[in-house]
Amino acid sequence: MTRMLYTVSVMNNKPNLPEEIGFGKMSHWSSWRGSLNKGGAAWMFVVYLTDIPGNWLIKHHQDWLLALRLLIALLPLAASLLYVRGMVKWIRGMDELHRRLTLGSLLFGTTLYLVFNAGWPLLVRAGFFSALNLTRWHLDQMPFYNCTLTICLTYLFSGFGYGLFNRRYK
Amino acid sequence: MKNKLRELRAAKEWSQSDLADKLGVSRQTVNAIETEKYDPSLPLAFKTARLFKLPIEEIFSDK
Repeated sequence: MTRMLYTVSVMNNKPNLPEEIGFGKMSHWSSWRGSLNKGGAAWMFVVYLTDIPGNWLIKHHQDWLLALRLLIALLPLAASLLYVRGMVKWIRGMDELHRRLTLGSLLFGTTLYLVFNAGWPLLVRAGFFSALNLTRWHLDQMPFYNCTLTICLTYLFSGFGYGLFNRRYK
Repeated sequence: MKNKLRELRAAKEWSQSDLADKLGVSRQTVNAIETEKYDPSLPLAFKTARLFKLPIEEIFSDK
């Protein structure tokens, strides 16, 4: 497996760098557009574009055919899987240091998301948000079972993890 | 793990980027190996040894 992953990066000879899809590199439209083709990022935007309108459509059109509602509901999930596929390909093209850093940061991000996901309802149950009068921003109703929020938070936490792990190698 | 990568690279008058291109890794990886913050994998160590035409233990050592 290691041999296969290593060969892929050698075949390209130009290893993929995680920084290339970071927001810092997206300052110009040309690099921003180029970044869309990397790491399945385009699929990430498809998730955002289908998830929120899809939720709204299903909520307001309960009378639509079940097959159609299923299609609308599952479209963001399909796009999420394609995003993950693009991400895996992107990581496979990295050199070994960046692959290790990225996989570590993704594990960090996913774990932090799970902790966040498990901890938030406990704060709601304990009345934390109502005690601080934060319920007016609907913080007690966070839609965790939502592709957009899941991807955004995991991406954010992974980025934080990458910055943390990368400090040693700068 | 100790290594002589910096000396070997300097002897060839290659920059870190040159060596990174030849090894198919990023410049940051070459820098991390040279500063001994990162130990390369066996395939990368073998590739480095082949590039410098030296036995692997002459470049990397655990002492």
